[in-house]
Amino acid sequence: MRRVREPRYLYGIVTMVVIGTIAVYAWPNLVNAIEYARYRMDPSAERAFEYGSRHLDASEPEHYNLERAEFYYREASRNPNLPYVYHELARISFLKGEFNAALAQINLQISLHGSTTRNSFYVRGLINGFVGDYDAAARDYETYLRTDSKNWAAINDYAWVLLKAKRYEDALIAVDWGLIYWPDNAWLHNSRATALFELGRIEAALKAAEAASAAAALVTETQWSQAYPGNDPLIAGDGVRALQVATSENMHTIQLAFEEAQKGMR
Amino acid sequence: MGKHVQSRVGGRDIALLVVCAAILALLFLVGGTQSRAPLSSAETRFVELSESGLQIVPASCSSYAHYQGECSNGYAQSSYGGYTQGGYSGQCTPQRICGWGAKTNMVVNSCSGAVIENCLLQGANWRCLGGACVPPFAVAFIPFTAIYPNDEGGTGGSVSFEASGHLQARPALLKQGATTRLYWNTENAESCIVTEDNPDIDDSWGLESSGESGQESSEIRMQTIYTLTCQSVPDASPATVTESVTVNIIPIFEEQ
Repeated sequence: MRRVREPRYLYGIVTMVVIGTIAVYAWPNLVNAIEYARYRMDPSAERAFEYGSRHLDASEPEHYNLERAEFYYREASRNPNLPYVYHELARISFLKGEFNAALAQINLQISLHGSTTRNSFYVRGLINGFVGDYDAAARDYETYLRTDSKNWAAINDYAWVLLKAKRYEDALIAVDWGLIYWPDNAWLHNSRATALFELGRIEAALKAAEAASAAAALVTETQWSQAYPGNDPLIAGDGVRALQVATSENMHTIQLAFEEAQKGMR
Repeated sequence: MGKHVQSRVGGRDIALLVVCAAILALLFLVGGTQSRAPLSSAETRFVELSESGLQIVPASCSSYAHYQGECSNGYAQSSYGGYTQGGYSGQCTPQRICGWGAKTNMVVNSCSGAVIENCLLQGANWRCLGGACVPPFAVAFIPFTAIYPNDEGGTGGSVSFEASGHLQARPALLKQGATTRLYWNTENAESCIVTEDNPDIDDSWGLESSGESGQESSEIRMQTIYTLTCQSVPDASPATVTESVTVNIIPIFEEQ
């Protein structure tokens, strides 16, 4: 009797594993189908916004899906009173590298809700910075910083566009301000090193670059995801490495310049 | 005996079910995140190069619609004056510094960011410099390296000289019908213009600087006075600055 039952267990296990594997890999589609069915049963803009937010949330990698987020936010845009719809659509366009669309969407957002969604100015600063309109970006960051003056990312990005606009002293003042509140921040130290280097203060730039490199080595994927919300959490490792490479290469470049300057003095 | 066998089989059933459940849970755990490819974005490896080629790395923390202030609450806010990391050790000693961003015209406390003095209340064009409010600057003349075409006694090419920034004519003594070059360089001026008093020519430049190569005059046949007039920025003293330079003609001697 036992000889007959043993293979049955084996077949049972194999069958469950096969069914389980199929189910697991079909699972996201199944969840999406259920979500879509629920949305069709109650196609409200509020529900669409909720689903859109779920698919753009870096803390939920299993649900992260830009296309689905965009679909639901577009559905949510039927209700212009929802405060952040075009803000989120602009972020998605921005992440996809579609900067013209992003700019149009964030301008619409600011015209509709700019007085209550102040971080829309921050998003527009980012977009303007990416397309190279540094003066416009600086104005947007200044608007945002009036309401959130100790935000290290906004200070760092403000410094970024000031550096690109060759306003090195202003950039240095900005990052020095930020470092009072965020003394270990890798991004701020990196921007400070750049400002000092452009001002010809090479020895100080080297110290700042060393601080940036040391701080970057300690940045975790969680911290990176917090610094770049809306990005796929699965690329956080890539992002951390990119930051570490940038700070490390900057330190090397400044080190070489410092050694050259030392030789020149001898 | 029959019951005993059933009991043994039931125990094995449970063990196998637990194994199957564990396998399924593991598959769900892994499959939930790994069943799709990572999505790279415009931000992932984005760096910008500074003028000297250093890599600037922007971030985007508070762009999130559901932002909770994660990037806004630095150490100093919770333990003001007592942070000890990153080389910024010890107490924060407040200093008067010039504000930045929307506060460029204000003197602020370097630790708290509180506005100490609004320079704009002193006058429309007052500004912060070195932690103090200063009045609008008067017109200043900035020395610069100027270039002059070496056709006056030279062997061709150009020569450079250190111009004072004030209005200069080079050469200031001409053969009749020759041209000269005018050099000037100012700052803090609302506007500047160079004019002349020679009725035969019509030279005029509305520039704050001549540029390193200067501005070439028309052909000059009589003594000509060039005048630089600069308007200061509002509220600066003096309101205008005027300088003149005279260009003379070499006399022609005719034998009797």
